[in-house]
Amino acid sequence: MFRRLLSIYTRFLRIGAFTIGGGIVMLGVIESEVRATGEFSDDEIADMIVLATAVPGPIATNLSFVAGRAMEGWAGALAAILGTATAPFLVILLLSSIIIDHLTNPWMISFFLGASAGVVAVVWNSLWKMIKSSVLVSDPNTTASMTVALSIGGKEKKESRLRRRCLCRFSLIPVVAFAATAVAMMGWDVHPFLALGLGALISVLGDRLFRKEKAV
Amino acid sequence: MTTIFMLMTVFSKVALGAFGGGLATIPFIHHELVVARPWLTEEMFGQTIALAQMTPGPVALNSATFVGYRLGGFWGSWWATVALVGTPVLVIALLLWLISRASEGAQKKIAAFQKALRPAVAGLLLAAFCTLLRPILPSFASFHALISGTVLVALAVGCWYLSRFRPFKTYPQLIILLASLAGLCLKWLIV
Repeated sequence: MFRRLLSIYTRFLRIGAFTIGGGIVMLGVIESEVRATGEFSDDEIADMIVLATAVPGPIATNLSFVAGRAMEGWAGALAAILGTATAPFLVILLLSSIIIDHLTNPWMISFFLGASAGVVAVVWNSLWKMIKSSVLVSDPNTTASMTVALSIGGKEKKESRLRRRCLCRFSLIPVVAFAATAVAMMGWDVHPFLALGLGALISVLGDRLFRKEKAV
Repeated sequence: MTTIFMLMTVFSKVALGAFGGGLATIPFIHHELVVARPWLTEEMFGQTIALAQMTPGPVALNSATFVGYRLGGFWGSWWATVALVGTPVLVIALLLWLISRASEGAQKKIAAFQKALRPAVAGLLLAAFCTLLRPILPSFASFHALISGTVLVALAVGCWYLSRFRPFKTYPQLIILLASLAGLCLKWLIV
């Protein structure tokens, strides 16, 4: 038990210490580390991200709390959040004055520009996994007209095994909700809470409107 | 004592209002610490954001530690950080507890709602991703900006390619460190 908590603490300490670039990057890193433990399915990880994001507060600490709890209950949650917060806290406390003095140093700037390029790759990976598991999904309960079939493999009707793999079906509602949230955030600059509400509203309403009638 | 109490209330408020994560929370933090209270000057706030980008940890956490230290020394920074991290955690704990105690029918509804929320959360993350992407994109403002942006995008694509292989797949921090070192080597091109 104690060893397990210690390993959770060090795991999250590592995440907190080596992740330059702010909260959203830590989401990418935590996501990959949680996935690497092999204990959780894509769906469970998506649920963790939803819970951590849909609640106020820094996503990084929220997500480590949720992930730690899934690993080892409340004690695990506490270990995870302490691990995530330790390094940033100490770095700011001890190094902030030194770093501020060198903010305009070109070596410093190129170091962090390079880091920001790496960060884009890391965040893109978890964003893409989230899109695959939550946006491009097919729901057998929505009507066929709401399902788009994307065929990458040519026009013939006959489906070979390979072609069926290329053929992905997904329902439109989550795609619309996803796009609406992103556009509201970036284009209209609304408060994130409202953007999230808009997306949730679209997916709930769409689900109500287009749900197949149950066979009587 | 009063300083610490004030720090705690303000940073609980920041934590509860900082919604959507990452850079989306910056305008709110700016309002709370610069506009509503004279705790940080515009310049210091800019430095805090730069610090948060350059040190590990989320922006909100870094600004709590930074502001807390300036106003209340070590214990100021400690309690500001505790308030910032602890308040949302209490909210999550309460939610998780309520979910675990809900009846079976209610639990199904909660699960359905969580599922409905997923595409919206993905949209929020896409917006956050775009704010990360923007600074490295090439701009046509000058020849030099074009070159440096192209190099950085190429570096990002290279990192993405590497991220599918073994050590990087499990430890994405290695990618970030590697990219920073590459940035140092490419200093003559990108700065």
